Amino acid sequence: MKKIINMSLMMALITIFTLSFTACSNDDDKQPAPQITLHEANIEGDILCVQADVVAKGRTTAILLTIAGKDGNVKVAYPVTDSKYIGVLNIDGFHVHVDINGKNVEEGDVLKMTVTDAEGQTANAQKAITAEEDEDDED
Amino acid sequence: MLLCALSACCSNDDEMQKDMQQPVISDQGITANPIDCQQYHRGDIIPFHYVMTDDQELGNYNIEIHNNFDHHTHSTTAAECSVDAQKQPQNPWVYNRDYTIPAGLHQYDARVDIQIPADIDPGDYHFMIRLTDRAGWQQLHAVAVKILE
Repeated sequence: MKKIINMSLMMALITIFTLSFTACSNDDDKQPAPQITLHEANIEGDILCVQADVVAKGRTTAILLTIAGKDGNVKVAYPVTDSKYIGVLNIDGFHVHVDINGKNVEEGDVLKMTVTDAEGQTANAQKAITAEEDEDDED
Repeated sequence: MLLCALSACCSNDDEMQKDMQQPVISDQGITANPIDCQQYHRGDIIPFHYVMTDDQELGNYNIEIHNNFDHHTHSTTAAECSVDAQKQPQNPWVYNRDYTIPAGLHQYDARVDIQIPADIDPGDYHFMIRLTDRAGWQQLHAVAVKILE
């Protein structure tokens, strides 16, 4: 009889602990994937001016810019390592100049921006590359 | 004991203290420098001075200076300053430096004297201040300045 009572108590304890750990699980802490708003990918002489806003609730760990031609071949791959853009929750006014000298980058090519957060989640955004506008030519 | 263990397990202290606000770059109580449309000469010193605050804890800040010879804009640029004609950069000023803030601070009086090189292209520049708090929230403040010969 004593053995049965002990077994019942043990089962009750195990059940309570199981329930408590389930209740305390960290599922709610999972952050959403990064979000990218790509504003500009503009050729200005020998550089490509890239402007964007990023929200990464899981903190940015890597940012990669790639430029592909109309045939899909990658002409430039540019990892962004600037410390002000890495390890942050948001980037307002991401602004990077990519050296495209001699890379045959032209209007209509596609810029792809990839942001990875600390949870390994990745987001992509892409934009057709434009050529610089000369204000003097607009008149 | 069981109740204590459960209570500790389900404690929500981290959640309650979670930093949900961006830090703030301001001119509160000071004469901030630089401000929009200010002009400097090559060889001058820019006496950078802003107040940085955060509700939880400040982290670090970055100052970046790049040319605006193409007349681009940034989302936080409030003022409209007169700009020179567009031109191709020959030897533009590029400045990009990280600065640490001592740990545990809610407010910091940020001061840096920045020497303008004597041989850079004169013209329109953007002076970018990025403040990041300990949690990782970032605030950008962009200032338009002109460097004269």
